[in-house]
This record gives sequence, structure tokens and C-alpha cells, in this order.
Amino acid sequence: MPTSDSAGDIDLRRLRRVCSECSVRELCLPVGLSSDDLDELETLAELRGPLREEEHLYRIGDPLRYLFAVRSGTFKTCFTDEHGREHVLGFHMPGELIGLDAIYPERHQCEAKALETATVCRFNYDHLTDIAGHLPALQRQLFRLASKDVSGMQAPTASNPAEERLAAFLLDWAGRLKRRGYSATHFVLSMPRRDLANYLAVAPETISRLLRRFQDEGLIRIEGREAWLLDPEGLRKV
Amino acid sequence: MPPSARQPRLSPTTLRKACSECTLAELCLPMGLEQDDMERLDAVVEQLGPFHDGDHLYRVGDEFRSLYAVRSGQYKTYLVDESGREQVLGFHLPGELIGLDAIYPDRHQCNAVALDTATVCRVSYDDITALSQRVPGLQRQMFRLMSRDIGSAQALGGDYSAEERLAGFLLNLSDRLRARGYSPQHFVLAMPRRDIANYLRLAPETVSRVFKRFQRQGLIGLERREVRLLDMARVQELARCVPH
Repeated sequence: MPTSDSAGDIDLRRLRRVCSECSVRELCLPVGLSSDDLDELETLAELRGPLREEEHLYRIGDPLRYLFAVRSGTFKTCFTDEHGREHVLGFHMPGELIGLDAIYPERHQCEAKALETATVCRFNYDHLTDIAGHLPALQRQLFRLASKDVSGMQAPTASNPAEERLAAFLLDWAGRLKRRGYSATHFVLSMPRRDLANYLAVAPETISRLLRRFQDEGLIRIEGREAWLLDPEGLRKV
Repeated sequence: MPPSARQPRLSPTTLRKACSECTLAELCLPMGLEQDDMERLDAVVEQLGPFHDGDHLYRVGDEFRSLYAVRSGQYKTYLVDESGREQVLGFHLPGELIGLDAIYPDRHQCNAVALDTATVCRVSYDDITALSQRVPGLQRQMFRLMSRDIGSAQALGGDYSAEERLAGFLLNLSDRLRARGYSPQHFVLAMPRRDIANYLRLAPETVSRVFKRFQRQGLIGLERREVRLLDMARVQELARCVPH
């Protein structure tokens, strides 16, 4: 039928515009791509979701098939050890790539879970590296995104005092939001307090106590999961 | 001009076969490459060294031009924060690539220093990316090597006891040495005790205490920097939860 055909066409075209219409394309894979390159990348991009809070994107041991780019919402990567202890490895926001750690062992080494309603774009890893083999700009951006996760510097160090770790985390979070065009001074901490504590290797009570202290010192204001950075400079000095 | 004292070069004939004749080829950049591709890589690899304990390969803020593969000896990567505290990011054995974290910001993000007498291979990043366009296996290996580093950076982030961390560290080292044809049971720790503590995010006293406990329990033998893993099964059991 003519009507449904044309509707189908439009849908198909919209599907293919996964990257060009994305608000975080300037942080994600399309950086530096010509419009022809982008067309090729978009043939691979598959929009998935929405995933609900707590829903898994992948689990430990799953074979590596895709790399995922967060499109909306926040994800947590973590794993649970044999004693049942959970270890939070990171929090990921739109425009960030997850699953890179699975390339070497060819299996996922951790699990990725949505912290709130979220959508992702997935890229078949073999196809992605195939096209990166003839699109130098895509290869360069893939190397750049992987490089960003290479250093152990993101991992919070237990050798620094807890207040330094928390202040550094808040500033890093604010900086990442700002690059995505969001407010760097008023935002939502989408992760539960206990995940934040686990990630920073600090007791949950300590996190609550420190957040209260930062509030008393006029550095931040916290209401539920909403946070205001009132004095980023002061926070930097912590 | 005589070669500079900092980066003496080996003769061009040795240079040309940097990868095809290297025993570490299967762990390093050339893994899985065909002979032809290996020769293309040889053409852009330069061997540098020997360097000595304390010599820096690069420092924070240096412009990023090349990646380095450790050929012999060991390197440490580290940072110094504003208050002068050092943070050790990693220890690097022969066949391991360093400098990958500089690709994104285009400047070196940490310092790399030799822990003993060491030689390295240097490849310009522009050459690697250009060659990766023609040699899919090289691109694939670049992703694999970066992925491996991402995995080990994550492993440190876990919430582990000092025993688990130290056992995981010893096993990780033992695995990497075995892959290089060295004894996985009996090896020398090239890094000072305080670097190990720093890397594992533990107090130096804690590392000494746990080392002593491991010795008392018959898990390891330790004489200065020489380690013997006496009871591999129990060390593995301790490190069971730590990805390594």
C-alpha cells in the first residue's frame, strides 16, 4: 500500500540518522567524520531501548559482539565477586562508549546496568573495526575513545583521603555534564549513594557525612539526588 | 653527530629487523601479522637504549608523538600530584606498550621511568595509524592492547582486602612473566616495596605486613627482591575474586 510504504521509508531514513540527529555526536564516534563517513557509520548504529532502571545491557561472560554508546540516561558498570560483594567500576553518561574492556578477552568482564531509563546505540564490533580500517577518521576516534579509558587515573585511589576522592568525583561528573551541554552547577546524581560509596571505596556512612559537611561548608547543596555546586573553586581546594 | 647520551641508537641493520626477529613479537604490536606486514612494521620501528634505572622515557605534558614497547627491562608509569604525592599507575614488562593513554589528550598524561637497565622500541603514532589502515591485523591488535589496559585499570578499582590485592598482584606478574618465557614461580621484583604499595593503593607498612604473613603461612618465599611462589594454589585461592 502506498501510504504504509512511504511511512516505512521515512522510518527507515530516520533509523539511519541515528548519529546525525544525536545531541552527543560531537563527543562520540562521529567526531571528525565527513558526511559520507557518517553515512557509513550510521548503517551500523542500532538504537536500542529504552532500558528501564536496573535492566542489563550485558553480563559478565557474555561474548563481545557490540560496543555500546550511551545515548540517554546513565549506566553503571560493576561486577559481583564470588563472595557476593559488588564492585562498582564506573558510571557512564551519554556519548561515552562502554564494552571496550571486552575486546581483549573477547568476553564481557563486567556487567552494565541502567541506573535510570536509558537508551544506547550499539555497533557490531567486527563491522565497526572493518569500516574503521578504511575510514581513518573513525579509526582515529576509536583509538582516542579507547585511550581515554586506558590510564588507571580514573580509578579513585584509596590512598587519597575520602573527602578528596568525593570532591574530585563531583568535579569530574560536573565537567562531563558540561561537555554534554548540561549545567555543571546543578545536576542529578543518578547513582544511589551506596554505589557512589562503593566506587570511591568509602563507607556509605562516610559519603553521607561528607556530603553533609560539604553542605555545611557552603560548597554544595544536596536535595535527594539533586546536587548544586555552589563553590566549585572551594571544592577544587579540598 | 654522535648519538645523544639520552637516546643512543643501535645500528640500522638491527633496526630493520626490530619486530621480525624479536622473541616478544607475539605479545606485542606485531601479534598475528603476516611476514609482509611484519616487515612494514619493522621499517617504522626504532630501537632505543640502553637506558638506566631512573631514566625517563617521557614526562607529564610532553607532546605525544610515539608509542613505546618495552624490549628489555621494566618501566614504571606514575604521576605526582600537586602536594608532591606520587601515584604509581603501572609496571610494564617486555612486550608491553606504553603511552597509549596519551592518544586522547595528545600529550603524555604520566611519567615513564626505567626501573632497571632497559631498551625500548619506538614507533611514531602517525606511522601506526597510517599502517593500521593498510594492515587490519595491526588495528585489531591496537584495540586489543588498549582493551587489556582498560581491564587492568578497572581491576584496581575494586573493593579488595590487602591480602587479595597483593595476591592478585603477584599472580598477575607471574602470568605475564610466564607468557614471556620466564619462570612464573621464581622471579625478581624490579620495583621497590613502596612502589608496590602505592600501586595497590595500600600503606607500605601494610604491604610489608602482608608479605611477612604470606611468608609465615608458606605461600611465598621472599629474600630482598626475590620472590618464590611456594604454594601457587593458595595464592590463586586468595586472588580468586580479583580479576588479573
